[in-house]
Amino acid sequence: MKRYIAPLLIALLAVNATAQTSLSLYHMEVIPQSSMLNPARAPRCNVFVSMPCANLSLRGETNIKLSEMFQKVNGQWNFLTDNDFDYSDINRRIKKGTRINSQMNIGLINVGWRQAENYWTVNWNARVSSGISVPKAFITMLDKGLPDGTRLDFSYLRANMISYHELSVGFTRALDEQLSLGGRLKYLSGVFAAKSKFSKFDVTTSRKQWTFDVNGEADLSFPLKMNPDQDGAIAIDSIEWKDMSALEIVGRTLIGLHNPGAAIDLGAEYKIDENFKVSASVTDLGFIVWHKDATKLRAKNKYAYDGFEVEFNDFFDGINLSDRVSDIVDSVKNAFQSHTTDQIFVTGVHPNIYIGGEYTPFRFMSVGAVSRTTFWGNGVTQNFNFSLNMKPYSFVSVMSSYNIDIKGCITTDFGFSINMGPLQYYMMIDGIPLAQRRLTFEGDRITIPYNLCDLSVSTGFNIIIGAKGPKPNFNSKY
Amino acid sequence: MKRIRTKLLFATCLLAMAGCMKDDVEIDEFKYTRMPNLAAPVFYANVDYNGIFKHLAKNKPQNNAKVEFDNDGLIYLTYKKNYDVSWNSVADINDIYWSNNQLFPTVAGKKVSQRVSDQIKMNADDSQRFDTLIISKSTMTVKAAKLDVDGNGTMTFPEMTKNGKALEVKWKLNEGTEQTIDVAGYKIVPKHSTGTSYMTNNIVLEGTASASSTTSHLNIEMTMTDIVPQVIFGYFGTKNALNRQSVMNINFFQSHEFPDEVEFTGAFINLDVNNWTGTPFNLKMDDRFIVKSNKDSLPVSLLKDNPLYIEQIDYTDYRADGKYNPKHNYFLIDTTNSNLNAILNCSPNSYDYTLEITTNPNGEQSENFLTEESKLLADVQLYIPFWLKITDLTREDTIDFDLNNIILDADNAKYVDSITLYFDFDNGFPITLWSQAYLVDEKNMVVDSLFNGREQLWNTPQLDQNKRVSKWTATHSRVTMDNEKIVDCSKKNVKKIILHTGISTTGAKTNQYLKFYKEYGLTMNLSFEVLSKK
Repeated sequence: MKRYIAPLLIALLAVNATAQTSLSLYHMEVIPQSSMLNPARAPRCNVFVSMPCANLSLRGETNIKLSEMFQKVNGQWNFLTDNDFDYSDINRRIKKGTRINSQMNIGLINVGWRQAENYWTVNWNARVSSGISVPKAFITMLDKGLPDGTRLDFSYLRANMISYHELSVGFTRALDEQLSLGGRLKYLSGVFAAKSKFSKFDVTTSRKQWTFDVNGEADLSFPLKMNPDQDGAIAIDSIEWKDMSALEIVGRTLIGLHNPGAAIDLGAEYKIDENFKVSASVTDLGFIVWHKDATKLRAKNKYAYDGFEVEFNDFFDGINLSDRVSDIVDSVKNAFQSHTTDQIFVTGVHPNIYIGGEYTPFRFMSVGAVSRTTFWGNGVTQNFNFSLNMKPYSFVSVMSSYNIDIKGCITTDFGFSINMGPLQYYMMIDGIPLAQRRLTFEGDRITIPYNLCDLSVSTGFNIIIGAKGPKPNFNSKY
Repeated sequence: MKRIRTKLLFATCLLAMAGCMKDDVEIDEFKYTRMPNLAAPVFYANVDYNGIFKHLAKNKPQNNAKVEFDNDGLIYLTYKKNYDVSWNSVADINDIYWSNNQLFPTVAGKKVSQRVSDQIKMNADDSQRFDTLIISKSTMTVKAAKLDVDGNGTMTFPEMTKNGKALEVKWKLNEGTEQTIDVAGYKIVPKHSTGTSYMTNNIVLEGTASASSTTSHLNIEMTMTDIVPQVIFGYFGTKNALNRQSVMNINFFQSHEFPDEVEFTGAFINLDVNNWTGTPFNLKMDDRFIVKSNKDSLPVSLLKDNPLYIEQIDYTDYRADGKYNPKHNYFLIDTTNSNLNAILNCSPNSYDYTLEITTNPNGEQSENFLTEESKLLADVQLYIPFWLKITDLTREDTIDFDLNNIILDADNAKYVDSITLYFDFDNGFPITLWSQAYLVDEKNMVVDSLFNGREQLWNTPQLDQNKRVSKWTATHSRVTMDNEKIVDCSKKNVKKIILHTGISTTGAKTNQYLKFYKEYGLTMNLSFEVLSKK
């Protein structure tokens, strides 16, 4: 049973959850977690304590929309597998391939307090970040098939994942009436990591020969047991989980300090006048050095398929096709056979750059704009958010915004917080899939988020002490 | 102001909910109508003589068959058995045993003297005569019981000498003896009487009887065992040195019964004999017959008798290393002197024969001799050359081809523009092959065919003046099923392809047999291309 625990934990942690932190949280200063996006923006309270393990942020991001998989041609709906489906739009928009990225942040302990003109925060978060890149070659295969003279580049195929603990101390200080600066120092402790890339992964197909040319490597920090053959080659399906006791698994997952790292958040906020301020920050600028079970797998192989070999006997005895197909599959798998070395490696932690501005015409309302650039392992995403932030009553804050992905996804965001005495509950959802369609599929009707490509959810409970009026003004020393 | 706030709150919520429900997407059924373009090799084959023999022998391991080539490269399947006649099958040199247990009278305290002389026979077979024997290996054992006499006993073999000195064995009478003597290198020149070659044994016993001595028996024994001659001269008579009934399994035909369309020629049996003895032999194969799988017996009819006389080697004709070159003779049973060709084309599966080897078939004409290394080797070799004629040998194969299953749905047939099969052959066999493929439904009713009539898939290669392939010939054929044919076959629910093929050797119609050489071969590649209709 215990052999399944580790993968289960990993699967739970790496589930395609969505984004680390909602972008629309940036201007919701009544929620202390907004300071995680810019350490120069202090929470609008004297003290806050998050409910242990009750703060969760998820983000999921992809660059292909569900809406792109359906087309209405001559009044008839077509899916990707239909003959009349026109791939030209997808082919035009997707350059190297599609990706699915996810981040998850569980706030185990978040505490903050004001000390004179300074604001201190202490955080312990568990974080998981993962990304899968699917090369465009798969779409090309679906579209064109594998005709004579095809060359497909699958080198964009990669899978990355890291999970780690983050212990941080943040500090925010108002230097004068206009400028506030903040920073957060983070100690990172890696739990598991996988990082893969191909420098070459070509598949050519022709009537006479198919070739596979693979040159790739993967860095792993997982409790894995490699089972090399006598030549030292490792078949992918021969890799097993190491036997670990439940105590070892819990120890490594929760309190392991085997893979150290560090990161930093830096931020600044400048108040231009009473109503208008701008801010910028860089978060998660750091790295983790992986030692525990650090393994590098290298695969550099070529395989050519000229058809299965038939012997003279076979013309009389018949050919066992399943055996032959199995042989071919084995040969293709051999193209991915790897050799392993123990080697420490370094991963980044997907940094973000935020640039924002906020205009507050009334004490109970502000409008804001913020840009977020996220550096994933497999590319960069750019989001813009335009929000309307309301605090109609002293115990309620509401936010609504539009989120624009540079790739063209436009989504609506919504968030709110409710204070019930010192207890605060908040929820922020970015990328609400408002554009929806009812999909009737073989008699079953379901509603599908049609333009979903970037969804973030942040939710949690805080205990707020010393929350002040509707207008955020840290510099006013209230 | 409060009203404005409330309105703005509602406006914000409405903005959040402002997403619109788009048109419904209705997909009645998940379909895969996007037929992929696909081009791929299916299989390749390199056929050479190895593959062919592997197939022919797959059910019966050819433990006694080999593939050989003559100097010209012609492929032979050979079955061989060999027979070994060693020197001891020619000359019967058995172990020698002699004993004497006669009375030895004594008087107490008196002198005693007794002389005994006897003949020791050396030839076990009266028809054989040994003139000279030089021993390579043997041991002599002499045993004498103890006597109450103080004196000596002597046993002398005057015909058994070494360096001119006769072998003499001595012992004390009152102690008795048991001696083992290595007699290697001793030369025995036996004396002869009718039917006997013998050496003499002279015993002298002299001494003084003890005070208590009484008459007793001599009780003396002599044995010579494991005699190996360095050389033996004489006459070894007329005898069967070998009489062996044998069965040679011809699994070439056991595993594959060739139909009438395949005819072999040029087979032969070679009886090859080498004689390293100083004895002439006669060798005869009797009771030879070929047995068919249905137990019919087909005797080989020879156009002439086959006793084979093998001369003896000359004692003085040795090489510098002291060894002899054998005298060689052979007997050939082939298509010119037998009905072997006709029998082999009946797909026999065994060859039964009796091999009889007789020494001195003409009596004593000269002195025989044998050495320790003398032997006679007889090889029986059946050669089946790949020299044959194939006249339109046809076969039929059924291949599963569920078209609607391949394209997932009969409705998808309209999306497939064409399916093209490519047959690429490079033929180095002097064989032509035609084919026709019929598309049939589940009731085996022919719906259509792939080719327009018989398609020649292997063209005959270029032959030189000796009818030997001088240049392989490439043949590239393609057959395309267009959309119309695919739709039609789909509607008619094609399930199988029945493949008819026929092969002939070049010139078969003019009764020409062709030899197959080891460099012959064939490469074939099948590939396909599916184009979809967009």
